[in-house]
Amino acid sequence: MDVLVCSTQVPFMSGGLELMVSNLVDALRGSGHRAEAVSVPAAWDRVRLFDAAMAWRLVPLDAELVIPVNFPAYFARHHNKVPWLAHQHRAAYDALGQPWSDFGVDTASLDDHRQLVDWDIRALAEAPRRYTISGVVADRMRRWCGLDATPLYQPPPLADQLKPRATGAGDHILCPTRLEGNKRPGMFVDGLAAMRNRVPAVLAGRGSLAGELEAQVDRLGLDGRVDLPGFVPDDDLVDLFRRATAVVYSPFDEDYGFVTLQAFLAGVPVVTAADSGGVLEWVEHEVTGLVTDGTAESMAAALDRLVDDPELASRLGRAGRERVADLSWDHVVRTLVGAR
Amino acid sequence: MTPVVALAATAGEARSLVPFLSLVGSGGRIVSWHRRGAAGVDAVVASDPGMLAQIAPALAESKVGRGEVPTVACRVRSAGDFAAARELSATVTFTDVAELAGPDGPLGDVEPLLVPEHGIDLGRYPVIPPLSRQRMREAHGLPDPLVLAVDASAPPRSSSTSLALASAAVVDLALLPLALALGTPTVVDVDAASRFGLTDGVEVLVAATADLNAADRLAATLARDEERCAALSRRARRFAERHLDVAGPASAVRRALGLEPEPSLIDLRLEEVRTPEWSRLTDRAHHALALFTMEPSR
Repeated sequence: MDVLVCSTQVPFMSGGLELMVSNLVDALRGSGHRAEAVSVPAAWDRVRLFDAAMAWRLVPLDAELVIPVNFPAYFARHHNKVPWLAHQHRAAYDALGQPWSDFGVDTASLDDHRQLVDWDIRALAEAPRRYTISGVVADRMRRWCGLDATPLYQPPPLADQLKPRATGAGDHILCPTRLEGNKRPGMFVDGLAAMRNRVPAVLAGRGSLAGELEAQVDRLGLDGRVDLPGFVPDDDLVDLFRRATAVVYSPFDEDYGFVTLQAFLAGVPVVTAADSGGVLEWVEHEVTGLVTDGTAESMAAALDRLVDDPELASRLGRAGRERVADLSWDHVVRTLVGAR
Repeated sequence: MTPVVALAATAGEARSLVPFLSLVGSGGRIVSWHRRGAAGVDAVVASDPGMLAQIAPALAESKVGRGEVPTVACRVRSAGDFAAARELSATVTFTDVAELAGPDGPLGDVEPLLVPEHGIDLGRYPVIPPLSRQRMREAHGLPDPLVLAVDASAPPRSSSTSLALASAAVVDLALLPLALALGTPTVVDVDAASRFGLTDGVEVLVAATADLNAADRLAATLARDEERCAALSRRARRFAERHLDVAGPASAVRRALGLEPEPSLIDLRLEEVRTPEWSRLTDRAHHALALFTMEPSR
């Protein structure tokens, strides 16, 4: 089957979505399909927000199946459009009222918001089947667009390399994340500072908050205990997961969260927050990890518990690994192409 | 040149055609065939094939106005009417009989176009999904949720504003088309649902009894259920577009009659996702096109 995987990208920005597209194209090709990634540049400011949507409406897409993965790629006009959505335009939905959303309550914003929601509903309703990367994304579509979608989970990057360590307890606490506001890396640093155990920690990743976090580490007297290596190569990241006692991942209302699945594949329990969205589809309190209220005290208490009780950490980690054992690209491909 | 549209109808039928005619003739001049005859007329709207048959000889001889025989839209109300109108070379046909219309109807033809009797100009009333209503209430400092009972005794502008802002509303028969058009999560009584062919839980919620308090309670419960409101709102609007819209058929008739140019590709695409003609996005798209066509943007 000829398949086009459609995405919209802000030039010079790359992240999990681009990786997902690349993995999906590889998986489709691996299953014998002809697959290509098609991308249209976009701008997320409100004035130009609709331009890429209109462009998708006009471009010819000569293929048997079109799989849009994000806003506004699902405006693609095709008889067999099967979205597998990472997210809609969050600034107009779950992030309304956040500082980074430019949808205010002025007349122009309200007009644009109305138009966007209506367009979204119509473009998504054209699809004969709809999938999302997680239950959280499907719930949002149901709540705000009145449309059903089925969560379709994918294996995370490095899935084939992440394995549990053979024996023994971990030697650090790991938080691999982009250093951006919605990922709340500061919550991790605050939690470490409140811990009773002075365990080493690694905050791995890049982002606009790097300088602020370094200052926070200094201010809280964590210098020398918390490593901020920035970007970490894949092999090193696999090793960091393997040696971790616990992984902390507590973004705000995450769509999916590869980090959780990567930790589980490495047999490491995840500590998260009760408002972390899609992470909670995987982290079940005291089964595959620990769910906190997001305060430094509760985060610290959860981490101290796992450090003090390696058997608990091991049991939660094993359960996490079992939880993700069935994730496969083969299943994703078969579902999207409609094969039985 | 301002186009002239003539109405050819019996006195009894003319009144029922006026709302649709005003849309078909918008931007032009609307005259009565009886007063003007065929002189200077660009298009004619005929109330039925009988009337069309009466004026056909005059039409055939007429080459005034644009120098061509006026184009004709004819209302039909049966398969026999449809055949007769075709025989009389009607340019386009329309009907207020839902069962007769569209490719899925007994005629299996795109025509006649459905112009419903209790139709509404959806071009004037864009859908307002529940999440956008919430934002509008926030902007206006209104309570959330906002549950209203709206009936035809309220002034028209007040009704449309209420129905645009409500989280959920109890609506009477007269205002039901407007509520459906605006995508208002709506509670109606059994009679109203039945008259419009609405299904409980699909496009509206139907209050089982005539007790107004029960309807109010149902609306209050509905207003707190985001998923249900979103689904009802979406389906209500689709129902209005399929069964109650007069703006779309009017535009199609205008095009068939030569009163409106065929839309450009980008206009068709904007129409597909029901973008209002007056929206910022339509202007932006036309502006982008104008850069290539060297025509002044709108």
